[in-house]
Amino acid sequence: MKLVLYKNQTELVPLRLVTLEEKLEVVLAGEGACVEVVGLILGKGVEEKALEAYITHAAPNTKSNVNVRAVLRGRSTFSFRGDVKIEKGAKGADAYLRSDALLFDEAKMGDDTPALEILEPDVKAGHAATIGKVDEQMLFYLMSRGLSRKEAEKLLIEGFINPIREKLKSGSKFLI
Amino acid sequence: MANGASIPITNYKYGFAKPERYVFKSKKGLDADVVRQISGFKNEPEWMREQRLRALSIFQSKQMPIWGADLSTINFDDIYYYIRPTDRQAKSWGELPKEIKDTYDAIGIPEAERKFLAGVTAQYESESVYHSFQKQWEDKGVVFLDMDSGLREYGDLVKQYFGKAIPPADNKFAALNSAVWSGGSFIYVPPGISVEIPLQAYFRINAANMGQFERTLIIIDEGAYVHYVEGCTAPVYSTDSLHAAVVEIFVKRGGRCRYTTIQNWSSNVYNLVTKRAFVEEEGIMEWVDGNIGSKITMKYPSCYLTGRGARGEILSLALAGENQHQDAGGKLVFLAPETSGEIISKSVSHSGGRTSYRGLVKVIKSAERVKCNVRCDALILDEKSRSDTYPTMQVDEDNVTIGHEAAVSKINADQLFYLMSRGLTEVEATSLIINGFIEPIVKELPLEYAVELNRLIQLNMEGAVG
Repeated sequence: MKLVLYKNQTELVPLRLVTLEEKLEVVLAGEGACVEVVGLILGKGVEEKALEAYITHAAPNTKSNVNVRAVLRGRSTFSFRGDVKIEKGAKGADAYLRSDALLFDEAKMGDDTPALEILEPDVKAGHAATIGKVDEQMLFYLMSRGLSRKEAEKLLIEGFINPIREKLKSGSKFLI
Repeated sequence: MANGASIPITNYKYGFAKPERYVFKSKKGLDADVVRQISGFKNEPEWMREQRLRALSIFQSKQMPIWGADLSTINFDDIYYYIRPTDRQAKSWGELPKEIKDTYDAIGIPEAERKFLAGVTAQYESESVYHSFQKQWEDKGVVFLDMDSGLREYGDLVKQYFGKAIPPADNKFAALNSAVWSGGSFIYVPPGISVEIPLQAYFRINAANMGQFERTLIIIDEGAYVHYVEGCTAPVYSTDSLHAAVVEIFVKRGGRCRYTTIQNWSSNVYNLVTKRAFVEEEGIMEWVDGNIGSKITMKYPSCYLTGRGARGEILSLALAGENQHQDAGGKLVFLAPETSGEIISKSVSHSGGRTSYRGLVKVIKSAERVKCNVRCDALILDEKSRSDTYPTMQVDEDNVTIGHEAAVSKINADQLFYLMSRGLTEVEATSLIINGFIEPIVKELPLEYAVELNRLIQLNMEGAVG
């Protein structure tokens, strides 16, 4: 999927990864263009999923926010390549790229590369990635309140995917 | 290169060149004869000669890397692969040739030595010419030699480990180094021995068009500790120079090794270095890697954590100015349960320089309870500069905790304004902010390096801010 956004256009791009592989390209071509990409990846069985997201900031005061969360079970694999490029002259650009993965059973994170390429100093850019199991301390807290391990885990997973699910529900027009 | 002496180099503190005075110089370019000549000249054992020739054919068959910095301007036929500065190694300071002493005086080795440094292997050109080592360590069985002497005196030990962490086929430049290596350090620390004072070696390149291919092998036996410090400063030359080193480290059970590098090659040097450590159970490897100079650096110190509970730490610092590309970072490979690691990278690009963080975190299946944290921050100071981050994570185990975080920013105008309102000039304020930004890494450096680094940054900033 390729998307070009012009002056002051704002778009929410939901990614549900219905197919096993998806590639998204967004070019923020006009001043003030804004994109928010939310992805929810649920892997199970022996699924091998892959997502590529390329965001290019080509105009001033553009904003991008990529937030991908994956819950992987069974022997599933997920690979994520995110690439945010801020071109020279895209002053005031604001980019954030984030991927989080919760792993269960024999699942694995294939290749997780959230890359940034920045050619303009007057920007704000960041990325973060986490890979791991549900937090043991949070589990312990919930279990100390009487929940079983399974219930506690379920609650934490829901908390993990809910923010993304809400965004996905709210449709494609969304103001950041 | 056509622009010859006009390469724009400003403020390069160590940019002086001494007249060449060599005893032996191989012809330009590389073929099997040159390799045989180098090996024969050093009176090496048969296995080393064989390995060099094998590495040469690997080098010739391997492609240049298709990723990373632009290496297309390296002309492998226009390089001297071996130069021997003096006929034999000097034992004391007084025996050294005068130009070599002058060079060291300018870098400040004698002062450094007076500050109780444990030993100094000064590398002028391809070979160590000055070697001193305090008796106390020798008595404990600590070996600190240049690599050529190490091969002569500890042949079996060298044969057991040489090329085992980084085989010639690892990459094109490791193959090149394996074929033509010369100099470098050989360190062995026996079980339970802790070398309290850092071991230091100074490296210099001082002949136009020559590559320096030093080879370092460090073996830390069980429960032992050493801190090795490598500082590089090279004079300015008018043609491109190639530096392709290989550093192999083996940390045995419960051992600990810290390897500190401050690289300040002149801005025409290609610095393409392969550094790797294998860490056994409960061992600790720490890389402190500072990249200030060179035209292009591609260097990713790695820790292969092979035993339960092993730990790897990589602190990477990069400063890129005009015509510089620092492609640096680190690799952590988790091969055993309960291993942990951390990468902290700080980079500053200014005056059209480019910094790239490139890193790998890999966890194999069954490496349970791995904990890993990566943090890379970048500062871009002006319009012409560029900063990239290419972190890769491959995680085949579900029971792990892995985090990565990065931020790219410019100098905060509020901070700058505050400092300038207190009477600092823009340059002073900027270098103060940069020094604060890189502080987590600088505080891990030996004092004299930290002082020099702060001065270098100030020097580099002058004229950078307009």
